[in-house]
Amino acid sequence: MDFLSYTFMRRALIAGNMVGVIAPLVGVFLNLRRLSLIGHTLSHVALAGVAIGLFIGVFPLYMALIISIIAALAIEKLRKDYQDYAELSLAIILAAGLGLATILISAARQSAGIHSYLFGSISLVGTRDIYMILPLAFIILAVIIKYYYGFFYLAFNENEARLAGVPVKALNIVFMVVVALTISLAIRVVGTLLIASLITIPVAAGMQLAWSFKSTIWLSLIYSLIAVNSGLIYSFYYDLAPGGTIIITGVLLLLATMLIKYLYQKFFRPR
Amino acid sequence: MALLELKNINFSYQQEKAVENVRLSIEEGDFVAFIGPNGSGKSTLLKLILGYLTPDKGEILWQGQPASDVMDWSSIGYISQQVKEFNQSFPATVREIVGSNLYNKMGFIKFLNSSLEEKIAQALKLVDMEGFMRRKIGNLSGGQQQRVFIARLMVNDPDLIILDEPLVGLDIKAQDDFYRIIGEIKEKYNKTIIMVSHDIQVISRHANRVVCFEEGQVYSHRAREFSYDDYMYDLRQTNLRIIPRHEH
Repeated sequence: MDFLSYTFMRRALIAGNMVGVIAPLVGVFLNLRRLSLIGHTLSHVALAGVAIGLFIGVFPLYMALIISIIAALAIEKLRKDYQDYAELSLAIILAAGLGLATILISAARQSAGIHSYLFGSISLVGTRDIYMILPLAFIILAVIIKYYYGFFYLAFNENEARLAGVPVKALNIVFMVVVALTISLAIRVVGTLLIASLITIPVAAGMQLAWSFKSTIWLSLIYSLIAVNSGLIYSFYYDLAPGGTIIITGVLLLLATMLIKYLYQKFFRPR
Repeated sequence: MALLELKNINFSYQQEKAVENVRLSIEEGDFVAFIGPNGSGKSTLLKLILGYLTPDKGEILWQGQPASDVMDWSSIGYISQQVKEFNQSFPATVREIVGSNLYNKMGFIKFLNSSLEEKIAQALKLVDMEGFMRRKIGNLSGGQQQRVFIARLMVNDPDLIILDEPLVGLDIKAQDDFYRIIGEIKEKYNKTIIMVSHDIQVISRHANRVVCFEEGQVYSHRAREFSYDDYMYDLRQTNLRIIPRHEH
């Protein structure tokens, strides 16, 4: 436990665990709505935000936050306007985000810091990051708890949610903002390239064993926190980018769960 | 006063008229069957009643007031054609699916409390599914899922129940169960029901009114005055009239 004696590691663990809680929580609703591509799109747009920040000299995460919220609202509008081509519009926004990021990063000629935004960094999680992540993570948590069954209904049947009194339009916008915030907050820990995986993989693992919606959430949370904490510790001891260690731990957990489930069903399931 | 009144409703998809000058009044306790060929305007009219579409012309009144002003949508219980097309691996229990319909009755934080849990139990009892509360929805048979969806609409104690071809894909036993449960709900709670069905002979035995759709127009009959044979004869005549027109 000697890693706890390092301030930067304590900060990384605080940020990582907050992100480890909100990412799968948002991820359950996002994945069950089959909107996981939105996570990928927003993470690439967030990278453009980071690049703008680096280019104009503003704290990159603030820019990532602003740009990804704007993009999330645009995606929600396009999702409604072009229902049959929603994926196409996502692919275009993703490409535009990545293209813009590439231009700005190369134009800035100051790309030393970009590595940490792409793959995450434990040593660079600063006090400013913690001050940003903590309150916003609590807000996201509060919003999801408050509208739990509203988001549930949107995931199960968006069309009929209105008839149960769910404010579909408003809640969709709130949800997209929550996704954008989650992605921006996770940049420091897992990096823009791997955020979408943190939203997806623990949920995929959780769904393997879940017996209800609530259990899907709890299991995804457990998988996510195991992946984040062990990933951060590997990252510390082996000096690797935390994004990679976290996601690979998540993937290994998913594979192990699938294997155990398969073996259980093959040999132990009552016939 | 009629529960639902449609006054000269017109609706077109771009240039194509889907519903034309529909006048219909549905009284409390009515069981109304909507019948007619595909594309005759049944689903469009349901979408207009449910507020998914807005009429180009005409007015929808709910208990005498304009529906767009006074409507509490949770007072309509709806089972759509697509109800069984949901993601079968969606990880939710029967309790969660039925409970989600109580959104309007949840407090500031949208969770289920013990009084709402009681409502869920009662609704499931109504459809003989009380033992299935903790089961995953995707693990149930088609007939059982359909009963869960009836419980889901009944949990809100709706004033009007709309069933859009609810029997598609169900076997005879499940169809019988469905009519038995709907019959019990009708008898016990005097609910108003609109049901779309292609099984004209069966539905016209259960309904007290039959509304026939033909090219966007409706003709309403008392069920006891409705003759299946006459209807089929008229339908064939209409088709005979239509077919040569399409050949040009």
